[in-house]
Amino acid sequence: MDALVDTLRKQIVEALSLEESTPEDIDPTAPLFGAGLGLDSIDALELVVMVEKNHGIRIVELEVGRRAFASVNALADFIRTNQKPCADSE
Amino acid sequence: MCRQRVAVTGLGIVSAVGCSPAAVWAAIEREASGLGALSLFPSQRCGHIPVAEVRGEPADRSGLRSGSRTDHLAACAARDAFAQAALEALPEALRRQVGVVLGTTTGGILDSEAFLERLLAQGELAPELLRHHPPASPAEAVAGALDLVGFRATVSTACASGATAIAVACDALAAGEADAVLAGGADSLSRLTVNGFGSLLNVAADGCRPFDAGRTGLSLGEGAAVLALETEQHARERGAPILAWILGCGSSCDAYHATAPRPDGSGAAAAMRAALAVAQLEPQAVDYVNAHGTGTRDNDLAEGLALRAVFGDRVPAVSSTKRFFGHTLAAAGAIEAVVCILALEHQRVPANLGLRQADPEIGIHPVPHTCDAQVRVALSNSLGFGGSNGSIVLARAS
Amino acid sequence: MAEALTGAGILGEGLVLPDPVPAMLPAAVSERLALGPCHFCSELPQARSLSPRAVRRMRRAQRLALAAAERALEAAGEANRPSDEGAVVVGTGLGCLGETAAFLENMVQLEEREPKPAAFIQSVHNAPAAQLAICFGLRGESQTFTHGAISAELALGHALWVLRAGRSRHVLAVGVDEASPYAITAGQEAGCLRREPEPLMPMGEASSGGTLPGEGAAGLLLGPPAPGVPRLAVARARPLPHPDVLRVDPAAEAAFIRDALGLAGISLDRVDLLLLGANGFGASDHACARVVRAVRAEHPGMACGVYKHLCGEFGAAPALGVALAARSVREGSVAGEIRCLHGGEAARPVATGVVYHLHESGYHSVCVVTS
Repeated sequence: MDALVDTLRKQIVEALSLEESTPEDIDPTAPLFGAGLGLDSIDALELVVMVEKNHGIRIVELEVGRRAFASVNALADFIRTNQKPCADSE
Repeated sequence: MCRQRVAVTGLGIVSAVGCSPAAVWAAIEREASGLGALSLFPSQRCGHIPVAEVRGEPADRSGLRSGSRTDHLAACAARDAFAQAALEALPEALRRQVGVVLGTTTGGILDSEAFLERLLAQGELAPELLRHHPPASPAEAVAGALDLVGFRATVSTACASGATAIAVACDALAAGEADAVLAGGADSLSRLTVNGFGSLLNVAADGCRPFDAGRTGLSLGEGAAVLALETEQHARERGAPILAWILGCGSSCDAYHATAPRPDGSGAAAAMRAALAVAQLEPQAVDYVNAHGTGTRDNDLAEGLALRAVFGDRVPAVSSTKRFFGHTLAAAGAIEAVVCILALEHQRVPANLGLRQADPEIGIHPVPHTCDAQVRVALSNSLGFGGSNGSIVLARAS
Repeated sequence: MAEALTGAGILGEGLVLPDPVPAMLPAAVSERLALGPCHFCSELPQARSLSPRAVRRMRRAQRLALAAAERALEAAGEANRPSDEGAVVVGTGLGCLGETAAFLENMVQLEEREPKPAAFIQSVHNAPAAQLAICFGLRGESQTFTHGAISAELALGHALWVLRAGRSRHVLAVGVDEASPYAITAGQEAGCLRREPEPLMPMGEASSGGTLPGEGAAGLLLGPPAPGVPRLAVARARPLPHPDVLRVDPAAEAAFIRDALGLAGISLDRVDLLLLGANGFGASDHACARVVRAVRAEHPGMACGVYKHLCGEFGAAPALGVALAARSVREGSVAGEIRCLHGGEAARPVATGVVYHLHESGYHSVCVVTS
């Protein structure tokens, strides 16, 4: 299993305080919103903060967020594409 | 909400485009936006986003010895409305019974932010900075400045607060709790709202463009507006100038989501229909709608659908004036009621500033430029977080 | 002559009381903030109407409001369940302090990085009302009054008007405030709070040296009047003619109470229970005592009690007073939680209760509950 996907599953559970789910419960290909994990628009905003905090990428447009959070795999791709080569910690 | 029509006998307004009805209308004629750079406080994260800041120092004109910025904004507007309505001419006992109903979302939060800054950054406790934190503070500041001991209330229904305050004031008049009430709303810019709305990713980096196909979000503003409201009997008996009528107010709740409106606009439609029902008017009697129109994708779409549901294929002239004033939160409903009254007076409809191309998905065509129109009846919408919706129907004073 | 107001049926009421023993709040972001002593809920009430996840998003004010509403609806029973045309009105003195604090503390500490959008969204003072509307499917109007010590009375007065005007058949009315180190710090600076954790003795013999801050909520489901159902007839709140509570004229206060009762066509001699909002703050307790003496001089059969020893002082506390008065009228006797100053077991059956507040912030109010 892709290490980044694994990390992201843990970070999602932590950021959203998903006490009823474990990281392993999250199917990396399944939608995060609506169906699948059933997250809502407020969760999406919390994930935006999680991505900034943990991966140094700042999402400023809702549309970009919607595409990035389509699934855990989509989020991993987004992070790999947008991460700076030398990640400086803020 | 109001069984009998309510007389508007005074106006007060403080905003980024002007601090009097005349100044505000001149800006609407010039189509001059009040958006500009944030200078009230520094912000690393949000400082580059345009906001509508009140120029000049409200504390200089408020007549208050002390208070938060919001208290000063409210008092400036209230004093102007009180003066225009010549309420000080009432015998003292009656004058003191004039009521105050104001809406505010964040009240004196600027001072509270300063309190936290000193506490957390410097370890210093300055509890006097919390003195004006309570939401009741602006209403109390107004009542104190004008020596009023009548019916008093503060409402807080997010972005609908100004409209809610006017509605509650109309209820108080109908119930006989007061014969005259100063009603409106006030909010200052604050780090809470600048950062808070920023974190919702629905703030427009290039300024709000209500109902535009390319709209990206709202623009924050600050200000206050207060209307002097009286029963018709009270206004006529004392020969007060009647500037306009409030024919009806309507309220509803989406009961859907903490922030997002019902996508089909049914909550907003219900508020509009309720206001029209109280006003005993059919939708086709409305000549102008001042929309809430914040410029967010969700609000404008839902509101557009609501307008089409209520007015069918005969949607009257519509504009959102939020690119003039910014979204002034609790002040918005009151500021926009003043705008409607000015439109009724001048027989002109304000521009939907910021419109480049109306969004075909919404299906309405806001007025692109301030222009002549026959305006006998206007309707103003305020649709807030938490699904609180308020609509007010106003009519020209003949 | 205006028609006497019938008011609304109190179909069910529910209370959320804090722990009976005052204590210090668990923690604050800075040790310089005052933590008490205060009455608070060391464990927030359970919520049955929402998923655990949804409840976890909420801080204190929303949790308390939701529990109070649930209890009121449960007490009212399925037959009285409001339809979607029902309205919601909330009274809260200081609103959602916890959420506001959470967002701002984080903003200041992290210099605007990593904001808390959920806290911002919940910090609007109408968030509790919004949540109640969503939970119980109520799409009539939603109002929130945030006016310090008279927030609950304004909310109840508004509810009565909504029903009288025929805008809704039911109104779910809730009064709520949460304990907060910021409110306690501000209150201590203003000099109205005591520092000793001994329980509150409003109108007690000994000078208590100040009031104790608290938190809590009360919910009332208001609807059509019905036989056997207590009615909320009047809810009136006004600024005092002069803000200094020591300058109140007992005769004028008695007239204020009499006039409010008069709206419902009830004379003062019919009042069986006078429930006071006295809170242990010397000046207002003293002023209240003078009013009570004036009233009881003419009506010695009236039982008289206090309730803030149960919950401490907070803006929306009068909602709890009204709920206790409703319970008393419903049961026909002074509710056990009320501490009687005069009357009590020897009192005559309770058919009419007046909840009277004379508050040091410069306000007075009267709520009338009758059978």
